[in-house]
Amino acid sequence: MKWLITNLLVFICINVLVAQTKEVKNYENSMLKIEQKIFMSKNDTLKNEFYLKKFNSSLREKDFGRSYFELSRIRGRYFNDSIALQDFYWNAALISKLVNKLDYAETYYDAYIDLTQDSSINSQLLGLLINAELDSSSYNMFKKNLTLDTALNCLDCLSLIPYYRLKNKLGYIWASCLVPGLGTAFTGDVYNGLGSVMTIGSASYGVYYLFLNKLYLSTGIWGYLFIPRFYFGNIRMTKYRLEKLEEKRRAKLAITCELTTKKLLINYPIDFRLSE
Amino acid sequence: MNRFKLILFCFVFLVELKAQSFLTDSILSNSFEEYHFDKYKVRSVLNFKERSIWNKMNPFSYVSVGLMFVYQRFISQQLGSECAFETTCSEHAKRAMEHYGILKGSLIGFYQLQSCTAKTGYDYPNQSINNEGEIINPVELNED
Amino acid sequence: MKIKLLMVFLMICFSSYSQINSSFIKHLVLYDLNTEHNSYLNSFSDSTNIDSLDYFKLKFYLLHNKYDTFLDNVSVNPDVLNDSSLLDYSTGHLLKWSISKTKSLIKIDSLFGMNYLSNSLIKKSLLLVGDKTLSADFLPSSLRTHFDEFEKTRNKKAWVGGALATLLPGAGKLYIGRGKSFLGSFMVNIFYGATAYESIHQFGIRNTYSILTTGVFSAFYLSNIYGTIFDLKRIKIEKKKHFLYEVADYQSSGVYLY
Repeated sequence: MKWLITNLLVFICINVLVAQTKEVKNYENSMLKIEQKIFMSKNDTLKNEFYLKKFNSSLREKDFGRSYFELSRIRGRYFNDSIALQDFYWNAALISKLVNKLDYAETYYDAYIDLTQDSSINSQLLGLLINAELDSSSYNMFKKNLTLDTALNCLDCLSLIPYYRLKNKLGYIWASCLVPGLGTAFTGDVYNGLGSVMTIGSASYGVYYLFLNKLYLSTGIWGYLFIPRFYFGNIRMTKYRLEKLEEKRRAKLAITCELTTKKLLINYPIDFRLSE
Repeated sequence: MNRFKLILFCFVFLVELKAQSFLTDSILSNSFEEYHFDKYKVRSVLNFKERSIWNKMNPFSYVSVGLMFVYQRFISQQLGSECAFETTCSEHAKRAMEHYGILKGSLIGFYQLQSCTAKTGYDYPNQSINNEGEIINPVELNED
Repeated sequence: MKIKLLMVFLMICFSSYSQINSSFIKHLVLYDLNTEHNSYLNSFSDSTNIDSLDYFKLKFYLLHNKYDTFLDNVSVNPDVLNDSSLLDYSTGHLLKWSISKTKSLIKIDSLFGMNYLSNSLIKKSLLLVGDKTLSADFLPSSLRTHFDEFEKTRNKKAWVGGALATLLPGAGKLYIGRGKSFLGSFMVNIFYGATAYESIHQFGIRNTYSILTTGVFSAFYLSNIYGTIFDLKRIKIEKKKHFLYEVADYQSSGVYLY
């Protein structure tokens, strides 16, 4: 009997030790264990705590997709601690922004502001980043309602970049209509502009040559098949090149704006608020 | 010992900095990724890797390579036409030539060219139409 | 004696240490927690003797469309072939993905399982598409229309399509079932044919322009004939796949994994 009890105690100690060493602080295993606890718990408040724990674990591992998925299971009404709630709203706003769910990001951010009345530059910066991507009216409304810090005035570019348009686009198209290839050359693509001139010119000369040789059927058919195609094709190409030019200029503006935003983020960093 | 503590402190500080910069980079890429400028896609040149040595030695192969290159690089953008098929007629002809040889490939290419009309999609089942309403037309006949 | 007692004690502890909780798995499936599901199944090591582990793993592979892994594991653990609903589900989904993989599953069932799939709708349909002599009476009315469409296409002859295309450019397309593009093909051939005729009539055959137009016209004309024959093969495969897809849909409707 004494031998059995001693062996039993030894066995239990070894098992606990092995279990502790075996309990690998592995992300997937920890998520699974929390999910098992969620499954076993009957209380909604307790379940909510476990959902929050899973959410925070995934944030720590920078698994943004997973975090957003876990976020959808959490309910704010089951929080007892207001600090935990405000940290949750902040994290939720940030993660929703990172996965491009801007409507939810705005909702969580507004809930955070309502709860905390946070007027720090970091908070204002996050608000600007969220509202700038929504649309210009929400961005302007946000700026109006909040007294922004002067350091953030340089971020107006965030709301202007999506609405950047090339001036006088119609002029390029009209140039292509009047002289095929001219509009394309004006966009910067001189080679294709010259190519248009050459193709339409040679097609027209070919059709004229057929007409001179009394091949009226061929004139009609080749003329119908080629000349309008090249002519309207050139106009389509000009339109395409204009879109590319607009994209290129927008990208250049975005680079300068990105550098400004990066400097601000370095000085006023935005990070997840994880208590543990 | 002090030196060791200093090295440890620097290491921890660098790790902390790296963790912070990851999130900054994520926020920046999320906000500005859509404005990155993609240059024009360059189409691949016709090659006869899958074909026998006869195709590679055949002078007509090089003629077809040259013609296809000139058309796709210089002439096709002048036409600016929109295709009912997922792969354009010249691209389909190129792939067919790579798979079946010059003669069969060019005939398949011309066949698609004369089939390319606005109402062609109604001839194909729903599984052959992609999300953008274009007809999926692979060159190989996959019976599986 | 003491050692034996200790060993018995250890065995009892280890055997009761891990059990698969099927309701937990249902919870994971309900909330679409795929990573947790995978981790849960992997947490049971291969050495633990749990019959249901392979069964749940196979269900997991099917749920996430990992059909290759599913087939590899079925051939190793054919005991799971005793579950008829699992077989119905798997054959239905495999058929939508690959015909040859479905055939290999049926073969595995006939060799190692209870041969449940031998009288299934899918197996009969697979035999039906391969053999013209078999009757299609076993098909339900909703599938009969799709089969009739496939049968009509299967009976079409490539030489008839080619001959029609030779006589009237574009007519072959009407025959094989690509009627909407008939007009385009017809007009293109007529136009280029007319230009070729006119140039030959005006300049004779030895002129460069005549050679060019004749070449273009013959390219379109020959491609119309060859394309009709080539396209008919493609249409037959399309119709077969469409019919088998409908059979798979019919088979797997109302069958659930969990």
